[in-house]
Amino acid sequence: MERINADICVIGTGGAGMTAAVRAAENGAKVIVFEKRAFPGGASNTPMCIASTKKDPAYQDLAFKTHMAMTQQAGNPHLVRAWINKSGEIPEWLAKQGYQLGDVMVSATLETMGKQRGYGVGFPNGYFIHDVYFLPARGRGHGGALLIRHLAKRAKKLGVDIRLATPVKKIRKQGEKITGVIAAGRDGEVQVDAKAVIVASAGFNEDKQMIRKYGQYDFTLDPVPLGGEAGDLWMVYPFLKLTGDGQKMAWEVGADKGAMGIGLIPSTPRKGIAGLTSWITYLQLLTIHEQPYLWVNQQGIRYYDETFADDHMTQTHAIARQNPKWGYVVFDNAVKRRLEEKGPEYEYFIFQANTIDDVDGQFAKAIEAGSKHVFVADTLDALADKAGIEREGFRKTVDEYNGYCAKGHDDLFAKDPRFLFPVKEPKFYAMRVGCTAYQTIGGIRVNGRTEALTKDRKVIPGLYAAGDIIAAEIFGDPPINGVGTLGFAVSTGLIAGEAALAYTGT
Amino acid sequence: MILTIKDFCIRCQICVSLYPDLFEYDLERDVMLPKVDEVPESMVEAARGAARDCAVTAIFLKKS
Repeated sequence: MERINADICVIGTGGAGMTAAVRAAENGAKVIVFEKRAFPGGASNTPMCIASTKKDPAYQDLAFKTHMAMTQQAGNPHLVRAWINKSGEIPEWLAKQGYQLGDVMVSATLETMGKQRGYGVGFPNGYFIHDVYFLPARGRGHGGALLIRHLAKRAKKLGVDIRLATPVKKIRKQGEKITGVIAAGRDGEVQVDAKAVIVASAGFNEDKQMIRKYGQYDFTLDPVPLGGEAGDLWMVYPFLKLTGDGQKMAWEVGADKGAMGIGLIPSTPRKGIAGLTSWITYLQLLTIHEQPYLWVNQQGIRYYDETFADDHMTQTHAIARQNPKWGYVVFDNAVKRRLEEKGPEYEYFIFQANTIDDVDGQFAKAIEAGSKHVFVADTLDALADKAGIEREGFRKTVDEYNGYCAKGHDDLFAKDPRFLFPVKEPKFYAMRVGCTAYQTIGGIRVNGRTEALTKDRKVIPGLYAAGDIIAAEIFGDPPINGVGTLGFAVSTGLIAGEAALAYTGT
Repeated sequence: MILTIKDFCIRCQICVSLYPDLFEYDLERDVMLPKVDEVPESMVEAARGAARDCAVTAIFLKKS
């Protein structure tokens, strides 16, 4: 057995873990980091950008109020405030580590914050509380991977001991205090004596039981990991090997689970990561399922105001409340022409499709490639049959909806009349849209200093958590969210690193 | 020509998804692997594309 003494032990090498490690090490702490996979980064290898609220009290105040309003005041206000304030330090801190952020993609002003859509990855329109910086990337990849590589190199320069392919198996505790961890190294057990442990091991994407139990809607994860037919939830990034290890270990030493859930985005599933990531494959079809056309469930009934079609949070939670958990976007030949000539009503923020090229060709290609989720037909009845939508309900809905379009008012949902496009000119098109998990979040309850708490809300001395493993806390319980969390990960990594430093007296 | 994948590959699956004839993912061992020992002439351009598309420059194409 290898025995190691450290000031601080970090579990996980994503944005939160690497940030906490570097923050602690640059202030003189002896830090050891464990990662169960053979490479660092985990889910943080995938992001394309990072969010930071300006380091200005007026911006921070408004960002805090906007976030709390958007979450119905259900998020942990101490953690929300700490995250928002700390996020303002991200650009400067990364620059200090020698990492140059890319351009600011979008920037919330005091006039626009809380009022217009920005980049909240589909949070309700109006949730736009920060500057969004692009992460420099290469190829078709995500810049997060290069950020993590940079932080890992920086960590090593600062003397951080990074152990890859070495999963932590247990958090050690004596009395009430944390005393270290036990990990499984390549050559045997590794026992770490450390005053502070920071759990930054992200979510539970691939633990089907945890998905079902903690996933807000009793989801069944698709057992075919490359996207397929059977389940009602797919992962955007399969094979992250996130199995809730950190949560389970923290629960064993008395941490309360807090809020847990899944960050949902909509998608028409296709095989492999390419099928779910339009920004990697430039797959224009996926833009169509952000459009405010007619949407129905499998019974053929409208189930939400389609004005919110580009709001992932609203759309996916509406889909998840249907049985089965599908939505169908439906449009006709006139809208198809509009897509090709004028473009979509809503542009997907990152991959902007000014017009959609050759919709028929793209549909045909998808069907030829084996997609069971896109449909074309010459009649509405044939479309319903192909898609599995109940004919009677669908017919009634289309007739009613076309009536609203004719008079310019949606009597049912008061949908924005700009988007009242009738469904009447053959051919007819439909895409089946399901729920995809952008990330899984939560599992350790913390306070605003990222200290882990028991059920009685007592601090567990020496135990901290950062990143996705606590991200649900800022959205309420169950969490309703739809945002990328790299900015949250780096912010809480900074907070946890500083808090652990103060605790260890280093 | 020979395809190699460095061990800092992040297993993001982009290469498998975009170039399924050239790469596969070994779920058991958690590694990305080239599917061919020697890249046929007809696939060299695709292999070059894969190397360009890799997020972390982990794919290399070398003369055999």
